[in-house]
Amino acid sequence: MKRLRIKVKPLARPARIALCALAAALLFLAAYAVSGYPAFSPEGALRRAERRALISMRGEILAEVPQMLYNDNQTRFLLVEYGDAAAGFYGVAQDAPLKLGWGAHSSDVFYLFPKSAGGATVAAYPGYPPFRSFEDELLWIAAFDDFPQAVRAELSFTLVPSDSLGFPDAAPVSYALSSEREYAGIFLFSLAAPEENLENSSTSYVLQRLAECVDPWSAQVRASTFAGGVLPTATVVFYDAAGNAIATVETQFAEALV
Amino acid sequence: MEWHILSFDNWCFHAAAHIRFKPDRPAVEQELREHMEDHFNALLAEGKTAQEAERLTLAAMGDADETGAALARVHKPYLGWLYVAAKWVVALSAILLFMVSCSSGFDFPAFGFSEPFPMLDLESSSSETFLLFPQCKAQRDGYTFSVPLAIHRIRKDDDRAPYEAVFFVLEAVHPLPWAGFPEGVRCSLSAVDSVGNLYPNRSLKYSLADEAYREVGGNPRGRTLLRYRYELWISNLDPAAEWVELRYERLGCSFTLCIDLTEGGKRA
Repeated sequence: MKRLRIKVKPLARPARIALCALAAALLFLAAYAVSGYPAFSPEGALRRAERRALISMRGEILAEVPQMLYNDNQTRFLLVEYGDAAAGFYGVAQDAPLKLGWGAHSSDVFYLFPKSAGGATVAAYPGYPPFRSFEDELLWIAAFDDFPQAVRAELSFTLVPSDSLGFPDAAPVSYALSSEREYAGIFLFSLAAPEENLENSSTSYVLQRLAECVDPWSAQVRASTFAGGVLPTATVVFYDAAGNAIATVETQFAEALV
Repeated sequence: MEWHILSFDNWCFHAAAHIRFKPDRPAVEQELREHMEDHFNALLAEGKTAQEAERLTLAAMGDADETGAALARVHKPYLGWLYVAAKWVVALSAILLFMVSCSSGFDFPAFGFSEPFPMLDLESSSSETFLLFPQCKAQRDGYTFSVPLAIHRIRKDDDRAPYEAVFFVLEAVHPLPWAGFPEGVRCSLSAVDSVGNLYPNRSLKYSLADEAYREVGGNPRGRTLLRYRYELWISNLDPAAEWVELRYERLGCSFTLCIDLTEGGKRA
């Protein structure tokens, strides 16, 4: 009796390769989705944040500063300029699983504020995660400037707390900071946290509120923080390489653009 | 073992040895062997002796080296190596998925939409509620915005002044799954009604010192792969308003969406 032999024809090799490629693509996409769709660079994450902010503009990155490390994640602080219209702070961490990307699950912060017309825009950075930077280490203050010949800048301001804050020790505090030019178009100033008790200090409290000026959700807080409900004014003096003061700009700390 | 099997194996081995992609050789050898055995059996069935059938089978197959060279031309090694590489890529992708899942503690972000405005009691006797389904759409930066549902609420307590509000679902669709919630709308969306009243965004309100407690506020309420939803409200709506226009404007970008309050929404 003749034996009936049934053979199932295997898939051709190109078809099997195509199937493997499809499976790999699906698995990779699943891994990417589980990771929270991270961006592959801080700049890529910024572009996504711009799209989410619906501003239709691509900002020019003036500076990218590695920030303090918290829970082992690398963080970046980007200072961005949108022509003469606005400037921005962007904070992002390499927080995707296995550190495969930046800004997973949109866990970044993006602040926009209008540029002032006087040649310099001064803004304090709320930090990343929001409002944490000063408590932990430093308060960053950026002065976006239109004086390319300036190599050094001095920033001074006085914070006058509102009486309604309820701090018995509330008193005006003046600050004077200096910075050398490190990045084109911007001077970065850093202010170390005061050594006194942060919880009960009006000095620390007012500085933190200053850093919230660029956050759109803090309008109510800042109005009740500073005397008269008026944002503090900063004076920036720019010096050229010979040490001559080439410009003095007086401007209010930048407020959020909403 | 029968002698013819040994000689067939030997022939097949020599022929397949010409194929450069080694993993292919056993399959080719097997196919050649089956072919030779079929031919051998056919000759036996014709009445040939085993030795004669073996000799004729080997003669019919020709020179093993010539056949092998022909096979080598057909079995290009690059396709084989590409297939091996593709299998490795699949394995590595699976390992990557597993490691990423472990690293995130299998804590995947919630997907899907829940029932909108669960806190609203649509059956309340002290309120009139109208469901509206505006057909408005707007596009901005790759997002398509729409308002699939709006709830117009009129509270009529005996001891209080009537109070009107519009609760609405703002849906954004983006073709890229990694686009994320369009956060710009949350802090920059305001509204104007047909009477001319302004309903500023909650984030704007304090700086505008708006005493009338009119505002647009709300929160994100879930997403799917390409869709993002906010549940928003317009509070303290003017009873004379016939429509409200949602307005987004920031850094030169703008869009509007209109909710017609008289469109004949059915009473809930």
